[in-house]
Amino acid sequence: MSRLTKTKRTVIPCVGLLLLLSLLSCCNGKEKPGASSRFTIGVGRDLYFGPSSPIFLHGSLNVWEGLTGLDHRLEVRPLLAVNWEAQKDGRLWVFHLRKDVSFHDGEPLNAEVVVKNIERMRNPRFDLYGVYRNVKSVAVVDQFSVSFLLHTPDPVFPSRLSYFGSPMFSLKSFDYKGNIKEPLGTGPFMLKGHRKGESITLVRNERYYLGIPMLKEIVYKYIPNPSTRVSALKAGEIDAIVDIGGILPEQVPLLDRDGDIEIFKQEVATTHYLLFNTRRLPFSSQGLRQAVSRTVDREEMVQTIFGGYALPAREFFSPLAQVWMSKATKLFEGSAIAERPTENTSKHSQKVILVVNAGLAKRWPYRPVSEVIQAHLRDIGINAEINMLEMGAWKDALKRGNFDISLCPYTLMTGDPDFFFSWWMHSKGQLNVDRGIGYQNPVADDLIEEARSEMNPERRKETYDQLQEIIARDLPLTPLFHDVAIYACKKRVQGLRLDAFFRPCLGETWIKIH
Amino acid sequence: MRSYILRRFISLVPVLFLLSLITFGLLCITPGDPAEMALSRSGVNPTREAVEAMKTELGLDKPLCLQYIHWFGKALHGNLGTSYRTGEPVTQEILYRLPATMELSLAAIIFIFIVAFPAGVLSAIYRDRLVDNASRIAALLGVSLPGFWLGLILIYLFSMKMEIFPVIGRGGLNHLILPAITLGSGMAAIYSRFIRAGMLEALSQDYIQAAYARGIRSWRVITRHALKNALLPIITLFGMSFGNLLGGAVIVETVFAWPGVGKLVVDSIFERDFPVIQGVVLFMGLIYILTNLLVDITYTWIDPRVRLKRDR
Repeated sequence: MSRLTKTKRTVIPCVGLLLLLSLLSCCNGKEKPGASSRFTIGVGRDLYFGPSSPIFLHGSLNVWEGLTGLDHRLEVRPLLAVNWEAQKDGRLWVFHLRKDVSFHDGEPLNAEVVVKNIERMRNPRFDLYGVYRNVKSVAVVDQFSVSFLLHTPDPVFPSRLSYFGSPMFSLKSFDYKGNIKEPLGTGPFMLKGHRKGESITLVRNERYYLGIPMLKEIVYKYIPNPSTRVSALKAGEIDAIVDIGGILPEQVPLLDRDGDIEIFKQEVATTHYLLFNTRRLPFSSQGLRQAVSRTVDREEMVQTIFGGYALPAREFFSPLAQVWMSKATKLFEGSAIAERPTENTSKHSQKVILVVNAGLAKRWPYRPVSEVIQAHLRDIGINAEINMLEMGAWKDALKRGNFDISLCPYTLMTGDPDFFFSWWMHSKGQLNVDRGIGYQNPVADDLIEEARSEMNPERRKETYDQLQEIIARDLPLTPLFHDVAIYACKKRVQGLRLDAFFRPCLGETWIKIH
Repeated sequence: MRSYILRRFISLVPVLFLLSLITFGLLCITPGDPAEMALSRSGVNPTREAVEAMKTELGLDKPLCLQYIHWFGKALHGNLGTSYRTGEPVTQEILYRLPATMELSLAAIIFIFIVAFPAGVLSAIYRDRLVDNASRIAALLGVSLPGFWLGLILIYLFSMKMEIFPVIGRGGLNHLILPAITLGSGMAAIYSRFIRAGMLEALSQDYIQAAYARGIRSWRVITRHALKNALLPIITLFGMSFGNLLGGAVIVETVFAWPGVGKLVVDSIFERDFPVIQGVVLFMGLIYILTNLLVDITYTWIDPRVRLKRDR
């Protein structure tokens, strides 16, 4: 009897523990991975933003769409708006909507819904880009036409409305504060479920106006560790890795050896810069900035660190925006890239601080890039100390000016140079101030403001050419490389493409069944 | 005993209050703007107007002491506020992920016991022999290997080469094995050495010699007499290390994409989601204190002398 009791004493807690464990394992109601024909994508960041965000879900999920979009040349193209025209010298824009679009809840897209969405977006809390600061009023013209009256003429207003600029949701999506409680967009996929910190499940929109997507269900899995992400793809637990920094250049050879995986690359609208703190020595010296810019061998950097999965930057912003490229950027062209400095840099032979954002270093190889820059600076007598800081501390250090140089990416989200110049080069430009550059040039300020509302395309182009010349001379920042996104999928996955903003075009993707 | 437990529960209140105050203070001096960080999640640089509007909405424009009083007042009513990042209730965020972390920690504890007890006991019995030396080397490896590295090696061997276990995610028991081994290996090494030391000390005691002299079978002497007495320091260690297990889960959760509290708190720290950090610290503090209370109660069960002393 006593032996039985002792045995019970040992066994019962063990069984209890195992039961508890099993219960905990099951309490999430998991589905068996790979059991269905669904398409699984691994991403390195959580694409669920929740009700406090203006968009609830990241645009990469293909759940919501804007009035306009940008193509691979960063030129504006129709999306929910089929066409548009400017009136009153660019102060009034009228957008005509598609008539065959409905939201995920079946409600039709019409001018009234668009106006209410725009009114919501005009709340500064939701207007992340400041697109609507220039909007005086928005009104219904007819059932499928909307007009925007602007304070000042804007030649590229349709571009500003692309992607994050004008996400459209059914009015049933919003609560009384304008927060999204359920993202009922117009995209090819609808939100089916979300497991916090783990995955987002989408199902296809059977009413999608551009045709029913071929994939029935898509699961986005949040896998923060890059090595685990690649292992999951190789093991077949995910079908693709498609996201910003999803695959690091050094991981390409590993994937390349797998006969079942296909690797793709896509030029994207992101450029990486070396920022100078122009408010203090030594980089308050224009000559030294030019010297540093010429010393950095971009070609070598791209080949050795990125294995060719980047483009040496010869332009101030993405060359995808071909129409805006200027000959003024010849400063960076050809052999000039690796030219020796003209200025005697020995007088600057002090220690400078190169601040690197550790969060960004998870997406791009910023650590080796900064080491290469450090080596180049040493060649010209500048001793640089690399300081890796996490995102918040990095932003704070830059804002306070506690740095000499830093690395930073920037995506030309509207495809228009104003989005670069107004934010970075204007003396009051938010990133010029917040990233601690402190660049001040009244001539550049005037040109930026002039170009912003110049309706004549030729004159606008000339102004931007002039601006690029000024910036190439002043160099408050210097471009290092243009980003090339790497993505990979199992060979059975067909038609998977990435756009210039890292967004997979899932409407045309399908899986080949053997 | 009952009054002792009651006293311990009452002492929870000032401890948790101080914990929340210290956490809040530390968060306040951390660089980075929570409103800007929350809005930057979508990958865009928000305008100053958007950041200011967000600050007003979150109450971050108010003086720090008012922010804390406001939070503490709500926390007393069981409301830990809403996440800056997602706008969802903090309690909901934590409770959603807590089972995953608890499940992982429990699995790691089972692994620790399965490995450490036989290794520790056998090392003590076969002191300085092959088993002891092998166990010593294994323990050395266990404490030396970094968790993230071990995790990746296990994935490579068991998921990619042998295809036995899945690489990522939470699901059935097969999802648990690799994360549990990764989380528990360091602790198992420490435990096995503690058990060995405790067993060696116990085995050298007179009552053990007396038990042998009475003709009690060797295995019975070891399990019933020596091991039971060697358990006390192990239980103390368990109380201390349970918190480490919860904390150590951060790395394991990241490597195995395990949706637990560890990953939540790391993401929250990087994105300055103060209410979530405060909430997790409180929850973890509470679990840690309760575990140690449980350890103290277990003492009295294992060693009646402890109870007698308290009762006096």
